[in-house]
Amino acid sequence: MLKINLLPAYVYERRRVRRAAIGFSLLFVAVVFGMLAWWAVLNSKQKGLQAQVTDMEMKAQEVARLEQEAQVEESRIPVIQAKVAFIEGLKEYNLQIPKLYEELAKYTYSRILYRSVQPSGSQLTIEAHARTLGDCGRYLMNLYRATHLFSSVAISGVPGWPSGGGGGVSELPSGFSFQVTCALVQQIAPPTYGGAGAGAPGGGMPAGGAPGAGPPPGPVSP
Amino acid sequence: MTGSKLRTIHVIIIGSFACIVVIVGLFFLLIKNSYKEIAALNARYQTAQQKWVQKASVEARLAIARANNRIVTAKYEGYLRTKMPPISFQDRTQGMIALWKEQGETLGPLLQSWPARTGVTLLSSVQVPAAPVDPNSIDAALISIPVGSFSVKGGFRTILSHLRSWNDFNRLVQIGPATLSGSSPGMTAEYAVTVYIFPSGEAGPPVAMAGTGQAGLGGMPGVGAAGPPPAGPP
Repeated sequence: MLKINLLPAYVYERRRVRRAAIGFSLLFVAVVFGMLAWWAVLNSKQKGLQAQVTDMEMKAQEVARLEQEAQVEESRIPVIQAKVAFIEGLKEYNLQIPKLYEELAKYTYSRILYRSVQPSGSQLTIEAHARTLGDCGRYLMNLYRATHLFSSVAISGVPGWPSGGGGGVSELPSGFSFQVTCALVQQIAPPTYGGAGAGAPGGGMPAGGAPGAGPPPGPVSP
Repeated sequence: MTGSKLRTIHVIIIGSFACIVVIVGLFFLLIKNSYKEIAALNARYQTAQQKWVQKASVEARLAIARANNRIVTAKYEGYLRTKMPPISFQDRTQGMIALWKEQGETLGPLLQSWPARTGVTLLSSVQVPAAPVDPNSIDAALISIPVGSFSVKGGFRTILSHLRSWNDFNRLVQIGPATLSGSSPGMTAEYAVTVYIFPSGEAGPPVAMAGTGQAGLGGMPGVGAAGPPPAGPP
């Protein structure tokens, strides 16, 4: 059987338009609702995150406070440390000359008489007296062995013949005076406040002496 | 008559366009901003968290700093007790007066009696210089008092022991390189002595003194401003 639709096309068109309008209206509402829902979800997430951030930032502030406290504590140390280092450096410096003299005594031949010993920052000048050239030579050899004390040893005033004193070598029983200049291995300098001590800590001088060195300290009468 | 000219295709186009406009508009108005704020919050969270992670190490650092500070301070206070007179320049004038007493009354006798107590004879006389008289010019960090040269007599060992004993003196002393002369036991040692004083505490503000020309200083009632007196009637 053949069906024939005799209604005009615009009748159906109107229906389709209405349906499409309703459909798109619903879609529009759904889209708006969906977007708002998305925004609400994001908003809620943002609020949760905000609370977490606030909490974490308070913790971070606590850490920053601790860090600042540590910096303050650390900044106090160098000031006091410099004072303590100066005091200790000074005490160490005060001991350096006695230590040097004690070591020198170990390397001093017992038949040598010291007239004076004069230290300066980097050298030691010794005015001494010997009875014989042999004594003087032995003394000098001892000083050459004190390499931990002196980097160089120079002697002057050893007499020739006839000696300037008039007696010459033949008058050696009365002896002669000479001068020894020793360059110190370790410079003796006082510490400075506010910086590292210029005078390095002594570090101790090794014990021991030289052959022929007499135990009695210092000068021995000729 | 067909009535409205609106076709389905028109509805579809208008509807789709409206939806797209709403989607784009709301995205840029609301969603994008929210994402931006969330990203910023995330960045802040990460930064704060990185700081928070360091808490243990910072606490350890603080504990070490405190311990070191305690050790150094205890050592320094020990030296203050045994080696320094109680002089503080928090009040500069009082500090200066305390320094006067130290240099004018205390230090001289202490220095003079020390050689005899350590077994040597003092040959020279001790002269302590006068203390400064301007409280503002005193270096409140470290006071250095050069006492001059000491000449002492004794045996070699006694002199060495005497030189060492300056470290036990109840002031901080620097002794210069000692020159030895003569024969033991009548040997003579000569050396320079400098006394150092660390004042306790921090220095206070400079003292305002009369005559320093500070403006705005008050005066006694009835006292006019400085300057020539006003010319009176002839």
